[in-house]
Amino acid sequence: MAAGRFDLYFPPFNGLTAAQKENLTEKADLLFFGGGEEILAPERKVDALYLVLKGIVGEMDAGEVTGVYREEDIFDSRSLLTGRVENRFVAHEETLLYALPRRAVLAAAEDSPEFGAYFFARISEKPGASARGGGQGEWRNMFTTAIRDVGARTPVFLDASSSIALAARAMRENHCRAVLVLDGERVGIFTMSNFCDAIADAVPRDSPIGARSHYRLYCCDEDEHVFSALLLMTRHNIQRVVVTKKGKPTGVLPQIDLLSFFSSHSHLVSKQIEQAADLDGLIEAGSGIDTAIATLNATGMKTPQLARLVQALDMRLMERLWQLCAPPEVAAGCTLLALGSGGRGEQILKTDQDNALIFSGALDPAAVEKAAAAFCDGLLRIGYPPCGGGIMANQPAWRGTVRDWQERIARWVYSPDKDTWMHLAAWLDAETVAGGRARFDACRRYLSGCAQGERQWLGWLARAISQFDHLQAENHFWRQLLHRHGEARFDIKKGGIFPIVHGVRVLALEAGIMPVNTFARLEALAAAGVIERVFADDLAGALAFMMKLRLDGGLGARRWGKEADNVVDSGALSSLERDSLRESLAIARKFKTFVSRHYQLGRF
Amino acid sequence: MRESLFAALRKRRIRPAYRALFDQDDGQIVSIDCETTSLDVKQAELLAIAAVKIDGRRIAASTAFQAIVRPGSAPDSDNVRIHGLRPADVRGGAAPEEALRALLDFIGGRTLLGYYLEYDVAVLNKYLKPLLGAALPNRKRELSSRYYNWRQRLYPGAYIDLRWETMIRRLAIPALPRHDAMNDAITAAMMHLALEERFRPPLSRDK
Repeated sequence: MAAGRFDLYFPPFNGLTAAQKENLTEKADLLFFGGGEEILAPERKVDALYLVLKGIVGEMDAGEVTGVYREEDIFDSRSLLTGRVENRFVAHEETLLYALPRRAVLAAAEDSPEFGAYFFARISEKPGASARGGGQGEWRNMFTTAIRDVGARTPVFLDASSSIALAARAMRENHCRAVLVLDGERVGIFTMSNFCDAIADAVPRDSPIGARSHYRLYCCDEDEHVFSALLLMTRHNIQRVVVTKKGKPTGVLPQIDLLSFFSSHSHLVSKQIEQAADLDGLIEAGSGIDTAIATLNATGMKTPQLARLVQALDMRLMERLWQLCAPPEVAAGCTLLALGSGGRGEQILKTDQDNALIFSGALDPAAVEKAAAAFCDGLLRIGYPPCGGGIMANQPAWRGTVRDWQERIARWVYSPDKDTWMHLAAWLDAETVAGGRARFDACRRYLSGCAQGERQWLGWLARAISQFDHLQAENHFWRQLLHRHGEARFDIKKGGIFPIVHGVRVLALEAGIMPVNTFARLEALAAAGVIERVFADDLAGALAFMMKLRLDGGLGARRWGKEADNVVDSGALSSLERDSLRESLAIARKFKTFVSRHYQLGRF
Repeated sequence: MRESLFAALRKRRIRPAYRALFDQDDGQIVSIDCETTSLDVKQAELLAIAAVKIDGRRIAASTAFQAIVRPGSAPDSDNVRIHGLRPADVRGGAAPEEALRALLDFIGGRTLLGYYLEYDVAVLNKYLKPLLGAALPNRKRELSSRYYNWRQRLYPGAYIDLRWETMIRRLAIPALPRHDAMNDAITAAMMHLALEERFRPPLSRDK
């Protein structure tokens, strides 16, 4: 073919040799779609991977946009495994696609594991995944995992002379879909589909399985990477591989186990956390959380769910760290709290550590101080930056006995100063990490008691909702977008996320709602009739979308080795995302008005 | 589409051995481009031919036709600079008749598409007439005139720049390196699809 068609200079293609690129593209066609036209639909068979050469493609799940693909983006890497798509893909504007045949992509993946890893690791977003050190680390973690670590199922061995009926019983009893067949020196496999064939061919049930078995086994050594097994299954369209050790079959690895390994990388992380014997072990597990975030986000997991999952992992990690830092007698007398976004389960990337301690009066305060200092320092080393506002258990103001805390709370409520609302906000979102809940409940009940009927005080607390009045910045942002080459930046946390989270927090306090997660609070507020159901759903949707934007931005920044911030860059948004952002911010504004009416703030 | 009378007449003049070939029309369009030694049809000799089928919205690049042709005389140096085919490149090419027979098999009776297609077809006919007994009977679709109609509709009476680069820009098509017969044939195909999109009534968008 002639030289210089479409230059595949960007990831993941940049690692391929010229010959590999040519193999990939020589069987590729070009496809052109008008705006609004459907490209792929669920359950349709896909035989190609699409590279966007021009235009924008939206991925839709039941009417909701769940993904956007622009120039140099690839979809649908998930279907590479299964050959089927789950969502609809629609051209948002005129779109030109390069259709790379699935077989050619798989062949290239076999030639170049780095190229393959890009798809199977599914960090399929914009540049860097394989070009940058940071990104590489993310999937290397996954792709250095040996098959041994996934855990193959212990195989059931049967003699070749066993009857088909016996094999069926063995499969049923062992909950497996394949048995290994011993035939002298040979080892074969008898699977569910062999069984079906035998039935279909009316083979008597007592005839030996040996004649109906495959003896060409697809094997992987237990020391090989998980990736090899996945590739083998995909290439040969088989459901399982036989795991060997020194050439001897020791297990069967079904595809379903592999896939669940990929989607629940988090299980591995939590195992790592349990097994960590020291801080170094936890630091490693902490980086595993980051990998899980990037992977699960790329897999299309919804952001609120992802946040809750991350919270569960974070909590476990903090609990384990606390066990390592606090001597048993200290740990027994302390309740460790995660505050703020960590407590709500809305922190995904590690942005800061907010924590506090409630300890029994019987403990030596110096011993508590020492454990708290070690804990906060440990968190810092795992990668949780210190809290800018000093809300950390190593600060005297953020640890105390139940009595200390009740006094503090009374001060916050009855003689507030300008920082008080922030302290209260953090405290209202507390969740226990370790230690008895009773101490925490005593403080929390005390706070609810103070707030009861204090409408004016609640109004004061709610007023912080307009703390960051961003209307001007917001207007500027949208105006900038009208200019084709103008770039605009906007703080999505201050402008969109905070007003919703804070308003919901205050309303929940007033209504005596105990859950701290914003989505759970919204649900409860709707159930209690404080907020109309439709409005609550809108708020949840807007919040989820903005959290997703923030996460994408943060992951992108991190991939380029930058600090994650809360700023949305218009250049990184597609028009679909802009529409959704516009809508989300409008909902946040409407909610601000709702809250200020509710508390008669009279400022709007 | 019904065959025009002229096309039918032209087809009748074609030697019987080839006639059946031109009955093969599956509705696909073939985008075609030639590189030659000169821009003067009388002197021009074929150097390269590329053709790619457009099947609905698919540009079938994977099954495209491409041939390097060995000319009777070496390409002159001015021209080498345009198409990048040096005498050494074309020396290993196919004999013209051989390349053209293969081309005929590829295009069959399908509609041809090109940019200033008239020139390419004129050069091809110079070679094909002795073979076929007549000129190519295929329907022809001129990209630049379709483009002209679109711009006219947008800006009635305005001067319309029909340069290749301008068309690529206005149609927002990714630019491929030029003067490679295959690249040009593919680019023409992309422009064709982009143009058809502009003539199509807009879809209603359900969100």
